[in-house]
Amino acid sequence: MNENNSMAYTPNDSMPSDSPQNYSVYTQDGAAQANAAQTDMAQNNAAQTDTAQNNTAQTDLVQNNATQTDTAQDNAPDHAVSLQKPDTPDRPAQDTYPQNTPDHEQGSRAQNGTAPNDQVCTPNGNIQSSPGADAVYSNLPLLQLNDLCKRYPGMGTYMSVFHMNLIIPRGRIIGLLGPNGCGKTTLIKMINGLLTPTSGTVLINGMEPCPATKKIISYLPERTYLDNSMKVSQMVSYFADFYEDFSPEKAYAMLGALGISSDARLKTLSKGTKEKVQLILVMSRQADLYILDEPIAGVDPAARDYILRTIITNYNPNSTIILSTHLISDIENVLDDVIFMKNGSLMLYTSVDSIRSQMGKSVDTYFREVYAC
Amino acid sequence: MLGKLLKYEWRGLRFPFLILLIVLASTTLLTCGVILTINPMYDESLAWYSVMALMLSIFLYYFGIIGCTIGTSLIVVIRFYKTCYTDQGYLTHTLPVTAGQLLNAKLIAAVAADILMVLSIALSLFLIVQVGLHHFLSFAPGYTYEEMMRELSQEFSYVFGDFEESFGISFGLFIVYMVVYSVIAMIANIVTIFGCVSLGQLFTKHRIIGAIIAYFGVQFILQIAGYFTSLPMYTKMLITNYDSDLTFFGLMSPTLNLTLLAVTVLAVAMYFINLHMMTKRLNLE
Amino acid sequence: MAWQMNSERPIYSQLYDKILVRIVCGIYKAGNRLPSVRDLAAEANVNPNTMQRAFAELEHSGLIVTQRNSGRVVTEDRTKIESARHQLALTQVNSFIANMRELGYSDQEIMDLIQSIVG
Repeated sequence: MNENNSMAYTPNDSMPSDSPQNYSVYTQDGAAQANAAQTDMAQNNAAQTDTAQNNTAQTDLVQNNATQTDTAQDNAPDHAVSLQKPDTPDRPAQDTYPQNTPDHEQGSRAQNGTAPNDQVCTPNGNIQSSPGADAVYSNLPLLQLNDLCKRYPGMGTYMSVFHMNLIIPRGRIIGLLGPNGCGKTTLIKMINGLLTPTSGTVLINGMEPCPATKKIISYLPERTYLDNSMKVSQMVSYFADFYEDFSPEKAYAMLGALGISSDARLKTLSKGTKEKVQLILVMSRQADLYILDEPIAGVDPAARDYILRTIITNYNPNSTIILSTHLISDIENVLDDVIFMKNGSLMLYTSVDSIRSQMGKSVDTYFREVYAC
Repeated sequence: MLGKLLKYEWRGLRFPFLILLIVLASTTLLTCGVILTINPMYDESLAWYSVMALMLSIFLYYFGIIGCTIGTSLIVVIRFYKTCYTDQGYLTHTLPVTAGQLLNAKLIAAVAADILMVLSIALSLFLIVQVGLHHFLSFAPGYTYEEMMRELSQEFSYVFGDFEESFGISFGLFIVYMVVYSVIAMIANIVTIFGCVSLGQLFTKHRIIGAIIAYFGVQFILQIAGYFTSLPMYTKMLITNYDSDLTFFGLMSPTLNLTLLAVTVLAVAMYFINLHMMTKRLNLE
Repeated sequence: MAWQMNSERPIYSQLYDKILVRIVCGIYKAGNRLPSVRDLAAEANVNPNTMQRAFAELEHSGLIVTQRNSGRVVTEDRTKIESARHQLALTQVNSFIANMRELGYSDQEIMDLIQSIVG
């Protein structure tokens, strides 16, 4: 194990081309784009190493603040590599955006070269996007949390989200995992603008939550939020009316595939069917950030497969999907990265492959170890 | 965006509103029907029954009107609560609109519904009066509608001839003033109810009870404000001799104006309370 | 139907193995085009990024080649495929022999057993 590396994104297997973000397949010209894709990989790598370093800063905060809860001391399992860094230099919680300099590239990935500056601005590997204003804009990480804290009024000094720092890039499928009450839902609400942080900021594409960010975020809450008196087809029109990126054709296709009649009134549908309808509406949007809170828990196994397949086929390098769920083993194969949270703090932010190759366990098994009661 | 929000507000309100209209129409028709059955030519006992029926139907009509006005406010507030602060709030507050647009759409829809209801009630009253008049005219041969109207308008102009002198303000202007006052009061009432619902959100465990408490709190404050606004009126009454040329309107107008001001201030305050609760203090279950 | 995965090993290396087997068996013939990353990921029920990584590793091993116009194709170099096939076979045989030895079979007994079955 390479002690100098934090766990995220710098696996020890030194394959020079082991890039999870070679976007060449997703553009028209295939391999011709591979060159640009390499730069994106460097960019994302930088984002991820920054995140890893943020991670260690976070754990310093967590470990230093024993007054938060008693168990704060216990949240560093013995073999969570990223959490044992006694000699980590102090980093300010507020981080800079990922830089595209060689300093931030570690290990074998540096072999792919530094990103030349003029090609750095297209994280989705789409060379057709115009430089200039667009370039600057798309240089921002999709989601950034800066020292985010939230304390609910009735809960004394306990912070439901405690000094979270996180940078989430585009083109990933990320699992947000943690026990009940660890602050996942609070975090998700803050990203959506449904809660105001006590301190710190949430930045989506560099903007605080506002109608412009709500336009590019597609959120599936744990509850049924549909108007029960409407019909399914009316709900589809509702979404089409308010969201430009909504595709009714996609929605109807998925409804048909799951056997849901579009003329049915929502109050006549079963709970599981309503959840499917909600999911379909959310996934029929072409958003930059999808946040799905327990999308498959209340749904039968066959439909779960369908839903996961939909998530996979819906994937595009410009969007990120954040899945918050307890059914880890079901979705492990679909996840790129995982975020572990505990007591409102970030415990871990790493990739599924890292956990498997370095721990030799599935994420589900690892989770059970880390959060053993 | 505002237009779309309005469209869906209307869609959500139209069915309950229709129910209210049907209730109103039923009581109106009932009253008209009863009126038509009254026939003074009948003998004593039957006439007595039909007058009783008339009283009953007017009674029902009265409650119908009250029910409809309260009902309109009720359906508007229930919709506000449901779409903003229950599970549906997750959908409403993640739409790509500002809280201001949301609030404005709901306010406009509520005011429109109120105005529509008032107009409907006026229409039904007019209908009943017309039916009554024409029905009674049919028993007085030789007495046409036009004649009656002429006599009535003469009476009216006689009474209101010196309206301006005694009242202190011309009739037309008075009507305008009352209309403006009513509209502002209507809007203020709606914003206040919304504000109370929003304030109820501060009590995380008992949100609806909190809203009711907030409402009583606001009423209490209004009462106190009412004492202050009626001060000019009382002082004037105390220090005035009977035969000074103080008109009725001259007496009332400072109070009316102050009340109007207080109500406006309340409405504005409630509007911003609503906005604040929907943005900074939003805390859905 | 989703591919069967072991939950303890990294997904990309399992995908690598499975695609390798398909190449060796001739399901993906030499010189023929591979399915796209997205399609194969949907079939396997895995993340496209992970599938992409498996493809990248296969490319690094030289078993698939990215061509300018036709995407990814299996290599024409049959010796590479042969040697991969040989490697796989060796692994199988070695693990078989190790297991049999664990059961207490001597080398001669193993040979006799094989003879009797294969005939």
